[in-house]
Amino acid sequence: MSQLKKNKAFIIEYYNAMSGQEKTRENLEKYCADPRLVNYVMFIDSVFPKYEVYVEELMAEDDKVIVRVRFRGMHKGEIMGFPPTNKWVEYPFVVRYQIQNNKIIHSWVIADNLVLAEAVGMKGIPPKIKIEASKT
Amino acid sequence: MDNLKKNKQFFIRYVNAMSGQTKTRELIEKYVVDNELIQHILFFESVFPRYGGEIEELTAEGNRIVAKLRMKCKHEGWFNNIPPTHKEFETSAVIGYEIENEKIVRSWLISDQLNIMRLLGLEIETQI
Repeated sequence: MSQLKKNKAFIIEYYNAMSGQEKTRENLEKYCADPRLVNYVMFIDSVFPKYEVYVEELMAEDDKVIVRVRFRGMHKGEIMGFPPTNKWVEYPFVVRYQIQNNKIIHSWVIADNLVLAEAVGMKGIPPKIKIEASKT
Repeated sequence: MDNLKKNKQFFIRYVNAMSGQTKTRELIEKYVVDNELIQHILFFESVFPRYGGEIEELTAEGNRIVAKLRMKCKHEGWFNNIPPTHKEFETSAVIGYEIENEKIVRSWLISDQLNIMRLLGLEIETQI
């Protein structure tokens, strides 16, 4: 199997192991050597316990794997100042993983947090805003 | 030259042609046949005229490219009900493209709209 295929298979194994499960440090560290990612996933799991992730697109080049993901979780903890609503929340995000020796060593995430904020209680756009126009 | 390299070079030409320029339909259609993307670019151009994009990372596989872009914008039109603030800001976006015969035929985009709204001065309402 080529290295690209191995890296893709590794990420699919990681998602299958995590999706719908409690994401403990011990479980995460089987796959992640990136402490920022471990802490981020544990924080999101504390807000949306046992959240699920669905891979919509996967591609790989060199030691990188990019995943476009749909997230689904029940809002049970405070996030961005919003208290728990017990609502199901879905939103899209993209993660890029860098993999070495079957471990994620670096990653970045970009999510549309507006979808998340509206789902957990931000009322409309924009119900109460303070806009200070630039003088330029 | 293999197809991955060709697609990457095409994409770099496309970003260079668009970045910092007025994005007319005529200019966009030299590179894009995906009507949804054309509409999206024209809308953003009306809100953030001559916005620029700097490629931070490029990944290619088959006929697909995913680019992480650093967008440089000045807010001159209504965006998510926020009136023009004339503020300049930078934000990241990830865009996936499908390329056929040196044209973008399909695409998707994920950017943090909430971050843009915060950069424009939004204070989010936290009351449920």
